[in-house]
Amino acid sequence: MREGTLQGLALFEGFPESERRVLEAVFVEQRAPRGHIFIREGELARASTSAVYLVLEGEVIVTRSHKDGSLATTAFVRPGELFGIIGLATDMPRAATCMALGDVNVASLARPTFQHLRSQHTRLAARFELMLARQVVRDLRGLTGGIVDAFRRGHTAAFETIHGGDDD
Amino acid sequence: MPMTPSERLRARLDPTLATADAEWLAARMTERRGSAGDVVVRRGEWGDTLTFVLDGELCARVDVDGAQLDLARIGPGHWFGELQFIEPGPASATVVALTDFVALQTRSDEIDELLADRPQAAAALIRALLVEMCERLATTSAGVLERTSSTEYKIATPEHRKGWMGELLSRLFGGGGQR
Repeated sequence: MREGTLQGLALFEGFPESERRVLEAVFVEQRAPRGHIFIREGELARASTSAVYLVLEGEVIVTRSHKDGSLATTAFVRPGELFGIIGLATDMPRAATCMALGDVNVASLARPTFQHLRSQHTRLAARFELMLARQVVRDLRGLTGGIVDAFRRGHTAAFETIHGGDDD
Repeated sequence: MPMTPSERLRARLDPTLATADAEWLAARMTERRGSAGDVVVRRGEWGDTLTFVLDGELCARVDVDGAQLDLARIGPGHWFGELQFIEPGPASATVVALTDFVALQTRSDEIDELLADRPQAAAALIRALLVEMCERLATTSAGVLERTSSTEYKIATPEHRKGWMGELLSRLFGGGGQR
């Protein structure tokens, strides 16, 4: 990733410049056409290929399938936002499909690269995981609110609009 | 022989964490004691503290429109307040002590100090919390869609929906099978 890309992104504000530089060196930029699927729901997260993605340009749509085969849109991931967090941290099957809505430019950080980073830069890796954890907390809070709201209303509409966040 | 606080912490965070790091973290955290009946956290109240239980038992519950739901029993080796520790904010559940208890606590504004002083210990703590929360998010999100897209849900009675809400919130709270 080009030097300076992370500068000015809200997510990376808490990182010292030297650490941002290290991250810029390990994130790999990738252009993808409209319709490209980065993550497919139901697939097993593989330690060798799972990655967390940062959207640089364009938009990524996150969908989940209902039992009847129809799709629910749970999030749009925009420039400066992440998706694929669960795949970086766990081996769980992918919970959603993440697809390019138009031509997109993303930067990915693969799990093996991150594991190497952790062994070399413990503090930086921990700060990065803390940033991911903050995103997950926001998603969990959104989900809690959605469940309670749906119970109160007694119908399913609230569930349809739950912010699935940038979880994959 | 009962486990020491640092052994409990190490078992919960990462069994490969150096003993010295686990001991340092346990010593760095603040001891909190309480009595049966104490309301340790109230749902909706702002907080920033992670509580790791060493001894005793507590219960996490929510009250929605008069329906009280017990989400999880929290005993030795388990924690609560992890969302608020990572991102200070309102508590998602009320936590009540069922017995006298002893716990270790640390606050969100101590994370930077932990990282500066003992990165390996801080990293193990952050990672354990991240992995656990990701698992909860994945299983609960799937559960919500599975449940609400079913015809069964659409024609369910309020009592049934209350049961499902409890099940989903329990998963979110990390209650697992401990409800």
